[in-house]
Amino acid sequence: MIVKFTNFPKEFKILKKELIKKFKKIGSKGHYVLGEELKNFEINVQKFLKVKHVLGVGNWTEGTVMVLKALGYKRGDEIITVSNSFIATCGAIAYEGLVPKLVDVGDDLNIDVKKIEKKITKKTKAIMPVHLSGIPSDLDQLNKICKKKKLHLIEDAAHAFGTKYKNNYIGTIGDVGIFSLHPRKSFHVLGDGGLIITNNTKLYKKILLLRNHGLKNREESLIWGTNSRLDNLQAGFGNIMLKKISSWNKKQLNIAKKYSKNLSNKLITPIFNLKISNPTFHQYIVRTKLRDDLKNFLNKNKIDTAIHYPIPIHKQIAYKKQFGNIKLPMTEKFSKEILSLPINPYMTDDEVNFVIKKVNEFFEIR
Amino acid sequence: MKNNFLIKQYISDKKMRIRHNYLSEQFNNSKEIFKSINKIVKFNDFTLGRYVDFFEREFCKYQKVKYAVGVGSGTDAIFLSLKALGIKDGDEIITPTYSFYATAGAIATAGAKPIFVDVKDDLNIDEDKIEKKITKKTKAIVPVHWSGRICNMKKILRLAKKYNLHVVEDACHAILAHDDKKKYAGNFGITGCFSMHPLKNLNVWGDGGIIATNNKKIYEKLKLMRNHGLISRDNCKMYGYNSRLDTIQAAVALKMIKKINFITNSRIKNANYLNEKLKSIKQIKLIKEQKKYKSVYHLYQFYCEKRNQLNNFLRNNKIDSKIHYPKPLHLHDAAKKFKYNKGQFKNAEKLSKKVISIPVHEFVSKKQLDLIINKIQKFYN
Repeated sequence: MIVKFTNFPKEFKILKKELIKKFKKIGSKGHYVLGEELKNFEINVQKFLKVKHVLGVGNWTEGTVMVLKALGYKRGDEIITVSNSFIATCGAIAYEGLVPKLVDVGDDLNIDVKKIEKKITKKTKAIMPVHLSGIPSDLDQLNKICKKKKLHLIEDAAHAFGTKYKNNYIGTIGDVGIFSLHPRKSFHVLGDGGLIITNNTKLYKKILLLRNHGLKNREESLIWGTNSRLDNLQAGFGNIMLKKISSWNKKQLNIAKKYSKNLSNKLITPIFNLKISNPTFHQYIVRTKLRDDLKNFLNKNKIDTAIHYPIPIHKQIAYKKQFGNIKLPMTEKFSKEILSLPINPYMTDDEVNFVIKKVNEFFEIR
Repeated sequence: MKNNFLIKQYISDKKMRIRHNYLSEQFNNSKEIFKSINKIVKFNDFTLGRYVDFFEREFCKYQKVKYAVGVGSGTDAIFLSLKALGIKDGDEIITPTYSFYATAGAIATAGAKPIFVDVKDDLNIDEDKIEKKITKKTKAIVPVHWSGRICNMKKILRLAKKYNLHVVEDACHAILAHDDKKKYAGNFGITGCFSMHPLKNLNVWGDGGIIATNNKKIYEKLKLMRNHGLISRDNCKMYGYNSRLDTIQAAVALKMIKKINFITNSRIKNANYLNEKLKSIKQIKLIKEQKKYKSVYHLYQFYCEKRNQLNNFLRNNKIDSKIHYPKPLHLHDAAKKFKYNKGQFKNAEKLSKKVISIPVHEFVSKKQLDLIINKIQKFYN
């Protein structure tokens, strides 16, 4: 048996007819930029997430850059975030000329809220938690800190489309949330794409201008903007995916529950609280000191795994060159222990059981 | 404020009989694309990957350039080029005031100040007015090959050399346009920036762009910058950006580029025909073509009297004429922070009131051209 980490060919096989039909519909109209499909996609997401405003953009990175620009930050302002994330989290901040202030993570691999306040300075403008693998950060506590210190709460929701925190969807709880629609995300299109959601009408209007050359209409530009629009074609695919996402998320949650129940207690399984949230499990991340051996063992047994992320952002050349050396003990420790097991909606029971069997087998002989 | 004002435009354009937007026609016979998509799925590359490589290599052959980098849009092509050259806050960049908003938008997004220069009667930057705008802060010139007509690159390059400035060409309209030495637009500067927006001569079916360069260092930097500065999945060398040509769109581009010679020649043929028939109308002034130069007519434009009335008349007759654009860049609200005034660039202001664009693409038939000509003649009689 071969267990793949993701399974696009299978997904494509199932959705092919619908996707191609949509492609042909859009193509025969010839509307590829800011068309009906995008408008409908934005409305559909708006209803799904119960949020006031939704904007389809080129990708997560461009979306975040536009958010930071629209919030009016100046060069040198500081944004608090985490180091155990994809490089884009800091890339977007650095690109806007801002300074990422990295905070260590807790056992749940999300930002450690206890360690935030001492990193806040006069220049701090926002906290940007990453809801890693679709498990929400401690949003109650984050909200409290932001209110007290008058900071914006920007949710990096790239992994968490459809996750709820208490009664609200991730991305709608802070001032603004940004999603990635990259093909490897649970909720995705067939190329690069992103979504910005907010209940703040002023912010929405500003980003609406920024994503399309600052244009109020075809002929008048109010501010110098850029070009970062979700392709109409990709929005069309997004409309198809949106109908599937709840069942995909449910499937992944069920796989995660099964893993957590049956995997050897010699490894640490993800920490989450079903009373607060139904994580989407974009990844299923376990921790063990024997990570590299386990990875090799699973690899030999044809089980795909990945590491999110083997080198924390603060250990990357790009960070060190610009912002110097810092220490984040937990993040560094975890980066040597974390391993993402396969999880996707197309996994069969047999595959899930096989993964459990092999992982447990590895720990039995040790 | 309307979210998607383009939807309104799509609806009004649909009523036209001779349309500016020919993408429905182009989409016929798209079987090849669906075959490619199957392959992309098999390869499992939905971002970058083989099709982007194939297309970049093919583009290099047509463009006669060493390196090409597929990016998210023409705007990003300019923006990333400027960033790769180290343009930063407070730098000044010289560009014509007559262009699409994106040229100045990309400059402003990179943190620099666009220093506008007036245009000549062909709507390209007036090379004789550049030198006096050069200051200590000037870092680059971004000429725009407007509508597919090449600027006076000889003079622009001479100035750039004299003052040690970079030249980044906005060649978004100008694929395969060349000068009297048959040198292509995009191959004069350190980079040439192309848009593949759906209505460009070489297009994809969404947003897309490509950068041409002969400079290996810049090429390598751009490749990092378009993909988060990653040298491998887990190693980031420099903070970058995310601006990739979609893999599916690369498959579309690969199909389209094989037709680019046909598309270019059709547009030139149509433009020549229109020129020939319209030259006798005294209320119309055609834009002259220089000897041995090749313009590729992304837009077919001329100047005319009673421009707005003619535009309305043609549109009422279901001919999709358009104004590209009624206002030069320095007169937009966006430019206010750079303190430009009305009357500062007289030629651009004058020409923007007289210019009109007529459909010229490869799907316009001779019969349709005759109808357009007939209606224009009728209007002035």
